Amino acid sequence: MFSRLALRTGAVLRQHVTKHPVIVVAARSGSTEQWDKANAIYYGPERDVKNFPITKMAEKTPNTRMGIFPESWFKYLEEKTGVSGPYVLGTGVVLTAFSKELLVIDHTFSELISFWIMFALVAKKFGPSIGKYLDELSESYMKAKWHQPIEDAKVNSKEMIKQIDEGLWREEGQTHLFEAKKENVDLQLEAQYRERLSEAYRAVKSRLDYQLDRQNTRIRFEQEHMVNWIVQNVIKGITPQQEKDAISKCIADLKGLAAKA
Amino acid sequence: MDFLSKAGVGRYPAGYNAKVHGPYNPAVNYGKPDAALSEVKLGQLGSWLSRRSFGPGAIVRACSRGWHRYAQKWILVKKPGVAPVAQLVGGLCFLYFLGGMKSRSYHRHAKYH
Repeated sequence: MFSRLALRTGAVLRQHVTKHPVIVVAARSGSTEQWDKANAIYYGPERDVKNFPITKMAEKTPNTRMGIFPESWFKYLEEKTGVSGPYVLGTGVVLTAFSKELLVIDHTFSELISFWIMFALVAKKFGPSIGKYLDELSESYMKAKWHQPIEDAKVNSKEMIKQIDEGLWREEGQTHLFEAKKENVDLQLEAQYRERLSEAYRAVKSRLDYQLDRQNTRIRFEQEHMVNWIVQNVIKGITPQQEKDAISKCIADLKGLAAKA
Repeated sequence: MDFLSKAGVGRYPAGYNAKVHGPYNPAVNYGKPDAALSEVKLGQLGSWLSRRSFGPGAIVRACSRGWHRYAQKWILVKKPGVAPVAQLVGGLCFLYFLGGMKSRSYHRHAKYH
């Protein structure tokens, strides 16, 4: 359990704190405030999205006819003149220019025709491959300069959030460690208290035992002394006549016993 | 340079309000909305023109809006085609056609038109 807590509270925490200093976190929170401020101005409740829609980059250019004239011009004229109207208008304009010799057929006129024929041929033949190459170029550019940095920033932020969460988890571990240490100290105190309690018990018991032994010895000694004194005095009080009588009485008793046996 | 700034050079147009219009788009007219020229009938053309302003600043702003609208439609797209190139070359052809009008008139075949 303690090794797990040490992992939670240990040197790993210090490592990742130095890797991402606190200053970075502060700067990021500041930039998000700026972001919120800009959002509140540009996309607040007053924003009129209906008349002024959010601008988006178009995928492709509008459709064209003959590779140069916008389709919308033809559509605009078709409402009034029918499908062939715009072509009639264009042909009419060109014919008028020829008729009035605004467009003179001179020695340079063939250049105009041949240039546009070559332009159309090159666009038809090499257009798709050139377009594909340029599209790939722009896609890789967008990826390198726009999408990839966003992705990297997201990954970095996620990693940082993960590390900070782990740091918080470790910080939480500190409380457990503190509790465990407190419990440990309490146990030591309890052990010390009990040890001292038993020591006091033993000391009191030994003193009481001493008193008891002393008392017993005294009583025994007094008793022995008294018995000895009495016995000595009794022995001293016996006269030789009495002794003699007693022995003769003993002999008489032994004789009597022998006669019976 | 102060008089330029007072004349509106380098400033947002008077009608632009960031809270209503969002981020500034140079292609959009933030003035009073009016019918497009293509929607105007011939009889209403006079009154439509009278509502336009023809000051130098207004003309410059209109040209600027027109260029940005063209650019956002034809050039600043994700996958532009050959159309803007063709339009550039065609436009130059037309300009040369206009520029060479006088000198070309000496090469006319017919005397009277």
